[in-house]
Amino acid sequence: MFIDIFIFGTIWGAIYTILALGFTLIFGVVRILNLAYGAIYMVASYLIYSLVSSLGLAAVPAWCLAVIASTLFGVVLYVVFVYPMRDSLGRVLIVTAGIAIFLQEVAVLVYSTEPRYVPTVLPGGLVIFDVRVTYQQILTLFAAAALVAILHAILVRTRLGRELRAVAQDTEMASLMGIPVERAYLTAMALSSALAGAAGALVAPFLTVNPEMGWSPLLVAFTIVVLGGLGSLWGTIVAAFIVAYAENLTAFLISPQLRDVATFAIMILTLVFRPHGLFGKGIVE
Amino acid sequence: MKRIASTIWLAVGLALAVAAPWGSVAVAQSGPIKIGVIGPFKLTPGRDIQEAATLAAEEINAAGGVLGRKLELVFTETEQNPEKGKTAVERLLFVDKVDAIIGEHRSEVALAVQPVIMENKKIFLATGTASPLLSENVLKDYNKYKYYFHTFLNSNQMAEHMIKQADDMMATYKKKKVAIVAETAVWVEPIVAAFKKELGDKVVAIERVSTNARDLSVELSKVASSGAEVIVAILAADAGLPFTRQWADRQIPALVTGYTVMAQSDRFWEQTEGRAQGFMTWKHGVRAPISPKTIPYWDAYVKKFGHAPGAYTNFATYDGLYVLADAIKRAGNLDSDNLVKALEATDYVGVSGRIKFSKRHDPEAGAEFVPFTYIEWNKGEMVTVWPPAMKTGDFVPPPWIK
Repeated sequence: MFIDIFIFGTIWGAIYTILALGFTLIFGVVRILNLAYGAIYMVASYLIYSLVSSLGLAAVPAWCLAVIASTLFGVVLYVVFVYPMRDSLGRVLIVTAGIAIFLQEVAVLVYSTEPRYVPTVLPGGLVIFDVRVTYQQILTLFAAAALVAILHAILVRTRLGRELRAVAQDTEMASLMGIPVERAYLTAMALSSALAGAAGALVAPFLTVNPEMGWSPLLVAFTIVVLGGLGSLWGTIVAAFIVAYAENLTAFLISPQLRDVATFAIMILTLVFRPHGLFGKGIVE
Repeated sequence: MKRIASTIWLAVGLALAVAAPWGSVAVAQSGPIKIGVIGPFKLTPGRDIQEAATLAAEEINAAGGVLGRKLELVFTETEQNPEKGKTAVERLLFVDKVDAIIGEHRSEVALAVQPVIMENKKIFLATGTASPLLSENVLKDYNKYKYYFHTFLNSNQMAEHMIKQADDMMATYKKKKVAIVAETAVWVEPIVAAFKKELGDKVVAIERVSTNARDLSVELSKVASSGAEVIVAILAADAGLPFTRQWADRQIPALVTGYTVMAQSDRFWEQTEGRAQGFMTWKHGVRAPISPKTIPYWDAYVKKFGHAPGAYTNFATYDGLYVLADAIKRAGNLDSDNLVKALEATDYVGVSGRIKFSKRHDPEAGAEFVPFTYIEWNKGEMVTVWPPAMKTGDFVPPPWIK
């Protein structure tokens, strides 16, 4: 059983990492709580479903198109809705929640509430220590690792990344140093939305796609950001795996229905006993 | 002069006021018989309610209608939501002024709308719900709930026959351990309790699943580690799809039987990308010689809608509308109390078998009434594999189980 917990905890830890990195980017750099984040993940999953099932596109090009569409959507969302009211956290919260509900209802109208599926890219699987793991899950694990490496390279090695880190560290100082803060915000929003789209692409083939699928990841991403510490890349990764293992332990040892309870418990305990998270209020590094 | 004019106007007004209700009665008695149809029409069980009711109404109207009047169906969406269901039913009763209501597949919705319909003394013929609480109300408070009838089986009836089939399967394939994977819903409780009671130590694992579960890897790992050789799945909600996909992907070494609603859909093979091979489920309504009407209905349905009857609601709704029409004919009018008496005297051979209502207004179940039939997905087709008297093919285990 502990092998099951380790294997499935690791797979979910990888997915949660991608989800939470996108969330922490927008939270750490732009300092807004984007409640439409889960909806972007949902829209990307439906887009892949439509491209593959209705238009007959191959899975990998569909994934890429979904990530590009998510990125563009994130940019439009920022320019049209977030930018005019960025200084008011409350207004951004309400507007993004409204957009999330709007997108969910659109999905209900277009696709109905019946669950949809996205075909798997790699059928079949292999047995690891008596536990059968599908190739799709292994692909998800490697794809998540590759995305983390790419994000790390962008943040550390590119000018855009350095701007993002500077703005995350001290917006005012970065502005005084001539860093284009607005461009950094837009980049953070674009990267964040791309990661939400990528997470949707990774998860859709082995779960089902439905209009409400965006809310649960939002809660998980928020918990991970709280636990890992705002804006900390490595903190986010460690926290994502802690949450994934805690959920799987709870599911195996107590009941799968208490999985979300474990997530809520971590969030509440962190906010009460360690409000700055495990790694403090760090910078993206 | 002024007084005379006022008197004339008053007389005309009174005449119109008195004449209006009579006029509307005359129209109502000669107009169509309005039947409200409720369900979640965007989902497969709802789609089947809508299509089966449409086909039945078209056939009845083509044959001259009922009491010389056409049937008019008024469809109202419930979205599987009890509150939305209540609003839908109130609209049917007070705005559309329907004569009877049929449909619905979720027990939670039916339990919410049942008192509203009963208080308004209209017939409610449920065609997909399974909670025995609905028909228990008829036993407990007959005068209030006598207007409720049901053309689908309740959970207690299901449990009895599901246990019989699981026992038979275990004996045939020499399996000794069974796991139950059941969703957390009101209709499931009597079935799980009956399995625990009847199979005792043979039940090695019971996994309860949330109705909106998307990932069942933990439940399946627990089932695999329990050593279960047969899984009785009791899943009416969406969880049936990820359950089947993950069962096949992980090659869980246990045969599946029980009742998975999504597996009754003609789209299930495509939805699971063929992973349903060897997956078995109870299906109310199969293409088998249940009655002389069954196979012709199935073929006519496929011809009209381009797909096979999917959910369990299909046969129950088609038969339900015919049973209601038959009762209206025998009653001779739409008085609800007369209709109750006519429905209680029903002995009708429909596509799902012979329908006779029990004291609690559920249909009698069993070989001579509504038989309990199982299908298996085999090479993209639903093949009837149980009971032996009805089978159209043999059960073939999934490829990884020898």
